[in-house]
Amino acid sequence: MKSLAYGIFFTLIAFSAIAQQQDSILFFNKGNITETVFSVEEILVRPTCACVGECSCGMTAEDNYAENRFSCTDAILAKNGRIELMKRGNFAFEPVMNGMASDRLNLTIDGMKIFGACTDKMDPVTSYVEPNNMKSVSVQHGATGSMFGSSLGGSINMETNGATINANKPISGEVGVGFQSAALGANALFSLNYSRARWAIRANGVYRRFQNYRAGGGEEIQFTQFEKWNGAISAKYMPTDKDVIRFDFIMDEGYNIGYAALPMDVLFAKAKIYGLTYQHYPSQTWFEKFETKVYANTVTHSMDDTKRPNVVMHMDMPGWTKTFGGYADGRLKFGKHKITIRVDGYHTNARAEMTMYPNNEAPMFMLTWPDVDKLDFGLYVQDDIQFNIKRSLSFSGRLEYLNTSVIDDFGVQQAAVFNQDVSVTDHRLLKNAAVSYTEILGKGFSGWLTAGYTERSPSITEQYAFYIFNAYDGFDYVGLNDVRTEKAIQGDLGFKYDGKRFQARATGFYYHIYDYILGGIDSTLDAMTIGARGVKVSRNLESAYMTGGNLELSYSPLKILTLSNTSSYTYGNTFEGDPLPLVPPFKNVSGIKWSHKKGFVQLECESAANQPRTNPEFGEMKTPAYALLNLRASYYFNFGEKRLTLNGGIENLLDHNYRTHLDWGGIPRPGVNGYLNVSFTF
Amino acid sequence: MKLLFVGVALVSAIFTGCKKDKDPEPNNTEGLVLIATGYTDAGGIKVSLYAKDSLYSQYTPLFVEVRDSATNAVIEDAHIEIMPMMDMTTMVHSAPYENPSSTDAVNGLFPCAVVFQMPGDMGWTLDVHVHEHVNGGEGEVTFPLVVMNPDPTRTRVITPLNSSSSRLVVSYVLPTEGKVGINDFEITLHSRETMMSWPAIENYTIEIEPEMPSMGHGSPNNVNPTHTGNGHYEGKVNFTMTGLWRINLTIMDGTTVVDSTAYFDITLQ
Repeated sequence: MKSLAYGIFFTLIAFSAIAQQQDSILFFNKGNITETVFSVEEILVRPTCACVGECSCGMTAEDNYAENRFSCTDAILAKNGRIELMKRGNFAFEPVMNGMASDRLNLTIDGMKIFGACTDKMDPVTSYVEPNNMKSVSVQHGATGSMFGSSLGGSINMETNGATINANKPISGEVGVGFQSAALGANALFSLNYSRARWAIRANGVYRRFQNYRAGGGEEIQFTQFEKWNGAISAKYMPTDKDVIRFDFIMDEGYNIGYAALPMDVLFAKAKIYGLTYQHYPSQTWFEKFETKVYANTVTHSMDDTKRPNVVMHMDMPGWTKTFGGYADGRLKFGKHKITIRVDGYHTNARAEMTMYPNNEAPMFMLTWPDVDKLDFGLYVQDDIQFNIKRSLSFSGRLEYLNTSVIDDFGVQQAAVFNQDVSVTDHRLLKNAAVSYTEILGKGFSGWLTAGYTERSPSITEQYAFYIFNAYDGFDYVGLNDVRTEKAIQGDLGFKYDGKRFQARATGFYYHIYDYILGGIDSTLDAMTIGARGVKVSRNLESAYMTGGNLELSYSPLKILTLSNTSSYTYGNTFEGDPLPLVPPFKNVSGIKWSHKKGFVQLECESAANQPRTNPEFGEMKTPAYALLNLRASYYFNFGEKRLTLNGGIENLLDHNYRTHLDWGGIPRPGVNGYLNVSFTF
Repeated sequence: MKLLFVGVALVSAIFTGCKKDKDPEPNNTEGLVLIATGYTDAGGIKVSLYAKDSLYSQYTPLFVEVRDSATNAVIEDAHIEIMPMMDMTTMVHSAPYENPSSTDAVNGLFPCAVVFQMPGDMGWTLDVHVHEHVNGGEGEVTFPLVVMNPDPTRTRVITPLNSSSSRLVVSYVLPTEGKVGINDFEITLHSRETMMSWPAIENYTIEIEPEMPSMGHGSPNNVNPTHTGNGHYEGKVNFTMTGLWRINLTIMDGTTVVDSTAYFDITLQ
């Protein structure tokens, strides 16, 4: 038995050598990669049915889903081969897709724009939708994602569950609890759906409380605790069979969130999200669907250094964003053409303050985000042409007008110190276009090719930051109001094979980025933050490029046995040949899984190569390679239509002390972590 | 609609016009503090001395009002010379000062200035010599003054590094309140040639370096003050946040550093 275990272990090590795909260790519970062969665009968190209009799907329990709903949303995203997570604490990681972080991505919830209120990006939008409230995540790369906004890296849209109208089952829901050992963490979740013939209402809640976790070797990592709850209410009404009105409300509050890699923690982070949607399914065959939505959201964020030892000077750093917007889109069909047209608009305001309290002196106040208003309008058109059963072509284009202004005179005066006049309104016209060609090359074998041009506006930090400290490189950041729009020419190539026993997917991408926005050291400026290494001011690099790809393989020699392997690699350079910062190294996840009718056992090995290509100016450390073993199992019992599911496992089985290249501050990730979840669906 | 606008414009023009007519002599001493009033020893002149605030040991703009002592009519054409004096019992000295630059009053007042280089409850006096050109009267009045110590310090008397030169008086003028952003910066520089002679220094080079003492950082893009007249040096000082700022000075005669110890503090609320 022992030799068998060793045999498997070494086989896996050899098989993967280097790699990692998902961010499993940090979370209570992970999905299993073997089971997850993602489509190009969707990560299905729970199975959905494909009916047009309102559906009343039964919920078929799936291994993945059972595990996923205890995970954090970011962990689910990380299972996509092209998404990585940037870690600053043990909470709400920032997704990084194709080597690009949130400034270069669109992150939306049900198509709603939401902007984090933390200047240090401690509150990525992914934390506001809990997995048990998530139907699917659509991931679109580069310009193909411009339906949701202009971006370079692509779009990640999280779709919430919403209430389900199903008169045959008026009451349905689930309750669950879970525990994990590394951070003595507890999760509790519930959802309840009540449905009548024409309307339904759904309530959803999650509570998580984690203490400091222990890294490999047993060391307790201070300031990694957190506590949060998330509640959502969704109501749906169908006045006719062709009309749906839906209202959604999400409230998310986090407290006492430790950020080990930063000099301070989060006192609270609060978000309120409102959305009202109307959908109409016309009778005309050429008009498939009309949808319109109005939404509003607020995010409030406050940092806290009172629990830290040796604080030189206490400071408060609150931040706010307020956003409202809407869109209307129609899906039309003319012969071979399927056309989608969307008009959208939003207005957002972002403000962040910093007040320091020296002893016996007046407080020191500044605006780190100088009360910035953004007004944005976009027009998106997509035409999918199905030439025949084998070939299809898709065009999409987006034109976006963005108007940015600083509304607080204090901010205008501040920026004048850097000889920047931010009193003038900044106008930008952003253009995005993509063309995609897909062909079925043989039985189960298809390929696709995408070419695109994208533009993105600078983020508020890149344009208006006023001494925002970045704990990763230790520099204070100052924005540049007339930093140029970033542009990219991109290409994407992919092949997929879906056989009976064997599945494979290979993708490759290339981005040539012009006017790449990156902070550059200005040695004439004094750092503001005590202990900072200097000041960086936003600037445009002439160009940069990023390329990479991923390969997913899955093989089932027996019905009950699946072997899988996923690997990915990204490479980025500036035009001068320097490595781009924060580029993940080669990584790999291999798994072996024994399935049973009512459960499975899975062993997976995740590993990553070292990353010797670092950008020293960015303060990057070289990151050593690592390999981990995770063991997972799941089993369920049926009681009529009700089901009790148990799943559990041990992550980082060998208690390896490791970190990933995108982790801030060289802080190791959790060591050996046992977890057990119990959930009951009815 | 257009007519309505014209109407409104007309009414407001008439209204403001009327207001002006009713008050032909605006209160030119509004916002000023009356320091002292007295009559000259000869010439029948009533002299009032105003300042923006009580007097502090700093660069202090003063305003002299001259009236005919019989009719109390304001006289706006006069030649005025002032002389500050400090009697310390063991010794007597003067201070840097600026006479009114013209015989024409500005808004009914003759602006002048004194750099009080030290505080004193007793001992400070200001002689005001007036030769008014309306009636031809001439005389002098002496006002005893109380000069308080400002917080923070606004004037520094410096012994230069090359002890052969005279002592320097550096006094802070602007910014008074200060704001986050770009501020006009102004100081005055005088030398003590003798106890009675404190001329302006007009050819020095001054560099400024603002810093937040509790943080240890400075601010970018400051403009070093250059001489603009009468010993006044004007530049720009930038503050990046509220709180206590210290503006460090380096005073140079050509390239020779005369002093690098002087500084002025300002707290931005």
